[in-house]
Amino acid sequence: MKKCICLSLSIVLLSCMFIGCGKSSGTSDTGQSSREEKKEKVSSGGPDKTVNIALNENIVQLDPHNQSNLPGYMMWSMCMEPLIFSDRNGDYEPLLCESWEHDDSGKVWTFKLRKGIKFHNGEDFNADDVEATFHRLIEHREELQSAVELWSLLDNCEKLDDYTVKFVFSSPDSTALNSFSNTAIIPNGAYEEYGDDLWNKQMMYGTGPWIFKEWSDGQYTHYVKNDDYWNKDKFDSYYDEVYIRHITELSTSVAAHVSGDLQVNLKSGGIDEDLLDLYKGTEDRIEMKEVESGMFNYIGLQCAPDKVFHDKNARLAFEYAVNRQSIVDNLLDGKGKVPTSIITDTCTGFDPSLESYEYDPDKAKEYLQKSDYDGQKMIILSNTSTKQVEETLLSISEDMNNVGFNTDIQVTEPSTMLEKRKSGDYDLFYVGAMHNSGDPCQFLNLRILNDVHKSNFVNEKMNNLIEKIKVEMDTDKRDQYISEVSHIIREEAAPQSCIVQMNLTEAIDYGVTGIEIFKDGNFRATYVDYDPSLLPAK
Amino acid sequence: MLKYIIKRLLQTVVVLFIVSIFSFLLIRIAPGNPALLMLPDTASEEQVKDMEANLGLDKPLINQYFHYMSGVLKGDLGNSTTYRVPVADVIPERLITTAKLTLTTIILGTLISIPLGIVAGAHRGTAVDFFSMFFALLGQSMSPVWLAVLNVYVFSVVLDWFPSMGTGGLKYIILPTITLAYPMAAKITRVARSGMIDTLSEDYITSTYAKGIKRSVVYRKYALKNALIPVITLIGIQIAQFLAGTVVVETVFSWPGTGQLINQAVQNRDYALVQSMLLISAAIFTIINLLVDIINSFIDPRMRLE
Repeated sequence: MKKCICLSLSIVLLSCMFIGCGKSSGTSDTGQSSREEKKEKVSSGGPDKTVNIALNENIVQLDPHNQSNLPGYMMWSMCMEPLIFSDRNGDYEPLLCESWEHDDSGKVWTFKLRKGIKFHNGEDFNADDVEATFHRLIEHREELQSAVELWSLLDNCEKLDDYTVKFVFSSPDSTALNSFSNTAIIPNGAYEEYGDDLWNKQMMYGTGPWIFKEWSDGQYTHYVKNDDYWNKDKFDSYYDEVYIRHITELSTSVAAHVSGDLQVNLKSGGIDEDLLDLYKGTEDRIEMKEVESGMFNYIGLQCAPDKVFHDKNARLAFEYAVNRQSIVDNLLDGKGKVPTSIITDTCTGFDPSLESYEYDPDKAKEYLQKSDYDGQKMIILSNTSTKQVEETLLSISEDMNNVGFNTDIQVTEPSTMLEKRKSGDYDLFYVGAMHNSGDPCQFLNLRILNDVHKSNFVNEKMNNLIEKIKVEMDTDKRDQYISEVSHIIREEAAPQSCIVQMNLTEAIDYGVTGIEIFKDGNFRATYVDYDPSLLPAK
Repeated sequence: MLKYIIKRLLQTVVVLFIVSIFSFLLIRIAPGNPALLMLPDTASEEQVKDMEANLGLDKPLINQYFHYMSGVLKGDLGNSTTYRVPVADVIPERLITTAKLTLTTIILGTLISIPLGIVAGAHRGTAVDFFSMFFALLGQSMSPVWLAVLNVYVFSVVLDWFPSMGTGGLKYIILPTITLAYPMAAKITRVARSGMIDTLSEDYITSTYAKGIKRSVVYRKYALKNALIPVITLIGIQIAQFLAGTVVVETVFSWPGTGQLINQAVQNRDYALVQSMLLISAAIFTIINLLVDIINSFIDPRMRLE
């Protein structure tokens, strides 16, 4: 009898655990019916007025001028606006300005500002705000990410009248439009009062369609609709609230999306192929959006005089040794392409006549024999430990070893990789990259001209061309220079060798619109909306 | 008792001092430079050096250590190079989030495991005993990652009972709690069961039976107290471990606790944050150990602390 009681007690205890959990969730119904409710809401054209967007990266602070990674742009562009709107594909149009012009030298730019716009804290938008924004960037030229990356050539920003501003550059900046479109305008009054504490106190005052509400570290960034948005005629979202949820574990965000807790799941570089299977059975609710992007993975070669790839023959041997098509077909499941060079087909100045190196192990062996390579061991370094990248590294290593190289792979953490690249302590490294707004200028300037990753490869002709690209305001001439650079990169097989160009797959609920997945790999959710006509027919 | 507590607190200071040295050295031995991580790719060598000077990284290690420790003694844990705010502003929110999860885990885990272990130990060889052992074996054999993923799949994806990630109301805490509580409950069940079996085989228990005292009274009045001593010790260790952070569970359930924070801090070579987190973890461990000893001394007067 006692045994029975004890056994019953144990069972009851366990049952209580599970039943108790069920009740505390606040759902009195079964899971199935709850799922049906969510589906019903969507299919009836009246989903919840809150949209949850997962992003696989975290933010660590709110300063809109000091964001280095993708969620930073997505975070501030929800609530703050730049002077110029960019489609991140090379086209620009006025946003907070009415018009802009620059003089013939390209050094002096004048902006006419829009009137009647208010910041979320009630301040009127005018030239003082633009001046405050750019003075901040000039004063913190060597500290703020935006200042270092975008505004190194800006000398001064001067208010001409309440709605006219003049910018003076030390030399023409051919990427100025992109820079203007990537710089959030901050309110002068609030900045004067709080200084940099604005961001510490979570006061993200902008002029955008969403009002910043809260950032919870490691969790989410929360916005509510700006009912007084100045451009409401153009954009008036169905949603009242937006949560950008920073979920670093992709399987968690996929599970949350499948279960209906999220409406959008975005991962920089696309959702991993092996996790897409988890979406099976949700085809009536979730659309897998595949985008041909300009994101690419490349091998950086160490070309210092005492290193293997200082010898052009060794570099050519590498180019012919790697079977890129096989990587695209087998490891990317065909979702990508073999690029011709690091200047991909999504870039301005891309030359379609250029061909990629074909896979030819015999030719690779010939070049390797002609080189000074003595069989020394080389390490292919990477800081990404996803299955796809590791398999790609193995494939590259195996291809290289098959023609006579002696390589191994090493996956390290980002900080170690950064230090090694910065000091040039590597043989080869494998990383991903993209060209912001389809303009390769920043990449060429940083990674070839300034050689921030210490490849030690120098080609004077190419460097001169990059200098010209930086300052050339005539787009045709500029494109010609970019094309010439891509020819030199191919001919020299240095300092980078592009391996694959990927398509991105992101998951978005049917009906949710305005989630922009750009070819440069960036996302923007500023104009997120809902359109029931896009729901699949039952 | 007071003398003992003071003595233990002094020992804690020594432990924290040793931990501070190790945490300081270990994070600096690891490759990576916080100055590089803080600056954009374009940063010149001069800019990197300037940043290193700003962070005090250009000074000899011994100076850096004393600078950090003198700050700690004044209540200044330094500035986080990741968050760019004082470390003291970053940690409390994460610690509270972790503490909530720890509390629910301990409550759920002990509510299940202590009765189960005690009943199993008191009724050795019965169906309850068999069940408790099966429960414990299963719980201790399962990888936390697997259990976390299984919980998400079953309770969130298939049944749609609970959200799979984030924090918020009670429903958000249930899955991570189950994931942490089950392996803990498995351990405690085993310890409680064996503690009960050992206690029941003691001579003084046999003599109580000989005196004709009812079994239920013997269990409650004489056996239970002694059987609980190792259980309390284990619970103390578990609390300290949970408060120090559970990276896997926090990552899978996107739970912004100390585990995620320290993981991120190590990756970003955020020296001040890593050192401070390790110091706080060590302090938690030693204080909880002290509390466990005090509680045990009340349960068993033979363990008087003098």
